[in-house]
Amino acid sequence: MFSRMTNGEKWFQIFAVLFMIGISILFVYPFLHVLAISLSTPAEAIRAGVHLYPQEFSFEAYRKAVASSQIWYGFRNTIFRTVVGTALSVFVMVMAAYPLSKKYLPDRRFFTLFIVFTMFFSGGLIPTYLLVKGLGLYDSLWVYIIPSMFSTFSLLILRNFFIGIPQELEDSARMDGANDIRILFSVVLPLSAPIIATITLWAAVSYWNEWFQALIYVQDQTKIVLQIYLRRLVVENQDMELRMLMSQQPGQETVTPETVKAAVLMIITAPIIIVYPFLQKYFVNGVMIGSLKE
Amino acid sequence: MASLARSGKLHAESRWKRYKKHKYLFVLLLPALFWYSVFHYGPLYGVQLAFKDFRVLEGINGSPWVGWKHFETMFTSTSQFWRVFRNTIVISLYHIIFGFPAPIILALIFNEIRGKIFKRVTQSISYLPHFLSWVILAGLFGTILSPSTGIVNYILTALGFDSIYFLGDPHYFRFTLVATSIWKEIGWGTIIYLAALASVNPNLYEAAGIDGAGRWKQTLHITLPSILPVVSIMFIFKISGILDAGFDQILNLYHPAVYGVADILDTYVFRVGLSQMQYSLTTAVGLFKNVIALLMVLGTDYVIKKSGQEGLF
Amino acid sequence: MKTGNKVKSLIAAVVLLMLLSACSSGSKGNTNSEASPSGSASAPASSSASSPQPEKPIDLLWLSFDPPETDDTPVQKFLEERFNVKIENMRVDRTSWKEHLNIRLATKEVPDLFFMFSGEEVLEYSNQGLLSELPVDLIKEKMPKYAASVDELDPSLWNNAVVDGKNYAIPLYWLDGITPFLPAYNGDWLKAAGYDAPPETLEEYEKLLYAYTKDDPDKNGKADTYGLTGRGKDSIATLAFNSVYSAFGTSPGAWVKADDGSLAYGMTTERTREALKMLNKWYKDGVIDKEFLTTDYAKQRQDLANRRSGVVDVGMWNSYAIAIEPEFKGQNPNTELVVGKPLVGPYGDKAGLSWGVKNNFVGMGAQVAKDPKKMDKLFEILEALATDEEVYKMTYFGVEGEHYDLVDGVPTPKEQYVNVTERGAKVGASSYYGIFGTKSSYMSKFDLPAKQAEFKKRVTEGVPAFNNLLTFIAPEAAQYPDLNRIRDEYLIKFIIGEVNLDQGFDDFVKLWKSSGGEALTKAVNDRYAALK
Repeated sequence: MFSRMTNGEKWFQIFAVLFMIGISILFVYPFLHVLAISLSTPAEAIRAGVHLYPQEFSFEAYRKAVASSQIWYGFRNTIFRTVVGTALSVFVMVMAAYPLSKKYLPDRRFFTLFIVFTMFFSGGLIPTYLLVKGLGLYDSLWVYIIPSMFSTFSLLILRNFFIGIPQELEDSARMDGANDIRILFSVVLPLSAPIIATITLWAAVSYWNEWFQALIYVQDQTKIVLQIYLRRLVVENQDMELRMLMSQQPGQETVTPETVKAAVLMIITAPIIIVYPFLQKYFVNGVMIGSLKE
Repeated sequence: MASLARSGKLHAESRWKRYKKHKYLFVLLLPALFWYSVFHYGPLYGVQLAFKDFRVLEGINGSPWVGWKHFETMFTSTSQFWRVFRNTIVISLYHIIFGFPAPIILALIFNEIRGKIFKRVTQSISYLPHFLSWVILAGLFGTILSPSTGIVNYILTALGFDSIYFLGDPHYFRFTLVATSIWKEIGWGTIIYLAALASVNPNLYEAAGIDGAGRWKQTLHITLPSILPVVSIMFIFKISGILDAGFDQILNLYHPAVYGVADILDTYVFRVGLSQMQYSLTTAVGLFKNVIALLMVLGTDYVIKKSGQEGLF
Repeated sequence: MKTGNKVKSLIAAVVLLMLLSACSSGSKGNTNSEASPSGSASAPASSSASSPQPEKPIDLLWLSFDPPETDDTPVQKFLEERFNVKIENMRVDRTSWKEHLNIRLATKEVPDLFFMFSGEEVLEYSNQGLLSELPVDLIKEKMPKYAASVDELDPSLWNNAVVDGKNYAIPLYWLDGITPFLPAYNGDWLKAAGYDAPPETLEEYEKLLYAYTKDDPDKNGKADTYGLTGRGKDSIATLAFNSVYSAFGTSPGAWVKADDGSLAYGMTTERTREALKMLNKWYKDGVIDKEFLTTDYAKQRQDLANRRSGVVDVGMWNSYAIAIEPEFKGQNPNTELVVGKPLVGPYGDKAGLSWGVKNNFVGMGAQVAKDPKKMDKLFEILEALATDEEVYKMTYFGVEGEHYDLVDGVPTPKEQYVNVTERGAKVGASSYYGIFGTKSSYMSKFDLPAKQAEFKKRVTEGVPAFNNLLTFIAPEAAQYPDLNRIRDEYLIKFIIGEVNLDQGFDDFVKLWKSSGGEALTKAVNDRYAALK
């Protein structure tokens, strides 16, 4: 492979590889730093200098995080929300993007405007709160999914992508007697794997991280999400001094606000990092060629 | 609006016929229409708050009208509104000019790398910073960019330059904002472009290769035009956020010495935290930002459509 | 714009929806019962009413911070039994208190027991008509013992919740608030500079700081030490360099007494000018860490522990005892952290800056005013929380033996209950029910274990303190949002020398005055005079 390239292309590869190694270090280092802090004792955490690995090791921050049974509720609810929410969300968004991409949709302009308008004007928190409560979603797990089912941003990206799919492919399917729905599922979707993978990733991360809605719409402590529990943990340990003052114990703390924050970040991020590589295969060129040959 | 104009003269019955003809499309579209009606148009009456003085006990509809008072407050309560507004625009422009192309370029480089495993590993590493919150990064960058003990300045001084107080010096602060923000988001930002690149028909490359075009020419004439639709719409979105400028980042990194260059609309409103239930003022500021965003988007959309690309509307 | 049938019906649906939502927002709200008077007069009496019927428990919607996770904690049960009430817990997340609470209030969930953090909140909520008026005389009548402790500590506390002549909340006080911020020194460096004891005067302090900077006190051969740093990032006007300002009897972010007895804003006084001249000189000579601009509380402590600076002045006695010293010792196990006294300045000022005893507030929702029985009940509970030992210990610490042990008469929480937020979550024992936890003179004997009480005595006894005199509510402060920003920006400029302290300072004062400072000063003084 290397031999087939021109000289210019060889140099480019060398440059690209070196460049990638260089910036990878830049990307990785802070992450390692945070990981190290999360595994540090309080004394080690405050030490000035480089933190690539903890010189004094301590699992305390993690121990504190998982000490409460709430974290398991949090995990369970968050996973439910992410899996079901993402599936539902991508499903309805793909469904909606397709008609919007067809020039022959009657009143297409109107419907597009109808949706895009909402990106700019919104009623705000209080009316939304009233609405959600009025719909009976308060203290329900579905409150995590339904009110955030559509992302106009993702919807438009999908739509624009669908517009770019060659009309001939659809026409040939139509001549075989397929209706719009069939065309969507058997022709358009396979060609759109990378974009749909992207939308899926965005939706999943969004559901995984979102917390404010969880905060205001849920009282039942068994229904909280991971982010809420972890944020509370950070805050509890943030005003650490205040807490220690109130508790009147001299500094025998085994964690610091920094180590807790770091551990919390790791817990929240780890699942995403683990899952992502499975999606990576969709971002490789050539997915399209497979379906074209059919 | 051309299609509507054309149909303007048609009978309502014809419209119904057309809807019936494309009924499957509407089946697909209906859930979205329903959802937007309920969750976005339902609460829309809340926009009134920008023109009212919110009285809790009377609810939104019972609260008294105050017309443009909140907007006046916004513009005149501080002699600094225009400074704050200017900061917001300038920082946003930096983000757009430097931050927008960055992930595209990186995506193109990713695309060119041959080693499959190397490519996948570096790509996964690149999005790690996206998940670090600014709360944590503030401390981290404080250390790394310290003029006395930070590694960046260590390198600078070793190369013979003076050390720079990146986070403290108003002359460098905006640069630091944009640079760190690019570092944080560039990897994650490549994902959409990689998806677009993955969707380019490989036959085009083969054909061009056969015609003797080298990689560079291929990039110029095949790759770039193919991802232009995605780039266009991403650009429109970026423009729509012109009055945002990165609240979370600035809130965690800024301090009095750099208010002059880094205080943006959102941080100003946040910090001032006026005693009144700031609900109404926040709604007014939000409305103001959204109107400007809309105007910017309309303008950009127009330009993009004129250049032949698919826009927003 | 012509619309098709389908679209027409869609629009109709939307309009209908909007109307519906509009209607529901105007109605009395989703959570009822707190809004309606739940007097015992409506209690259904059983027909066989020969013996006095037990009164129906009074419903209380309760709001404070550090809430219990469940609704059946031992503390809640205790309170309900003891006072014959039924408590509904309102939980608002601490991380976004204001937003969260505002939403609840906006949907008509107004607490009966209404905890508020600051005077601004009292102002805000009273303006919205959400609070019951609580005349001071009424409080003194219903909560005589607590009121007496307020009078004894600082009668001006009664002014802190007054809006337009009416009082809207019971003031809480904070006993530690009268202890000042103290400077603390790296013990080894003190010795290296030739001091056996911490400096007492500003002059000595200055000499010491220069020694810290120039004479390589940590003997590592590198010029990497500083005398002083400050919280330029998160508290430039109040806590940064307070050790120097207090030696001049001033604080840039506080209202102080002017020579003629009126209130003047610290930043505009001559004393502050002089203090700034000194700071500027130090900055030029490298005695002040140039990175103070981006230094916050965490970093300042870090710098001390990592031997970058030799003095820290942002701690009160308790911060040193409990947090800063252990942190310092973690990096310097064999060095002592020497806590000193506020410095005596050129005019003889020797009081340190303190927060003052002003603390949070407890109010009652507006609906309580219509329900005298409920109001009495709340007063009864609050008085007990502050003055009854059994109630206090239970609501703040929990059950003896189970959640805490008495050590020399001081409740010492068991290990898993040391963190008060966690304690509140699991047991219900925290500031949530225990409103007066650590905030009652009667209970101060329970506040500190012997060792700490001793430390506190040692470093704060006899040490004078001063605080910001603007403790009462002045709504005008919100009308001039520029003033704080101008103050902060100029503080920086003065210290780093970007603006000079002669004509430049005069110009600043003019600017401050014309940006609303003059009007504010007048308003503040008018209110101050009216309070006497």
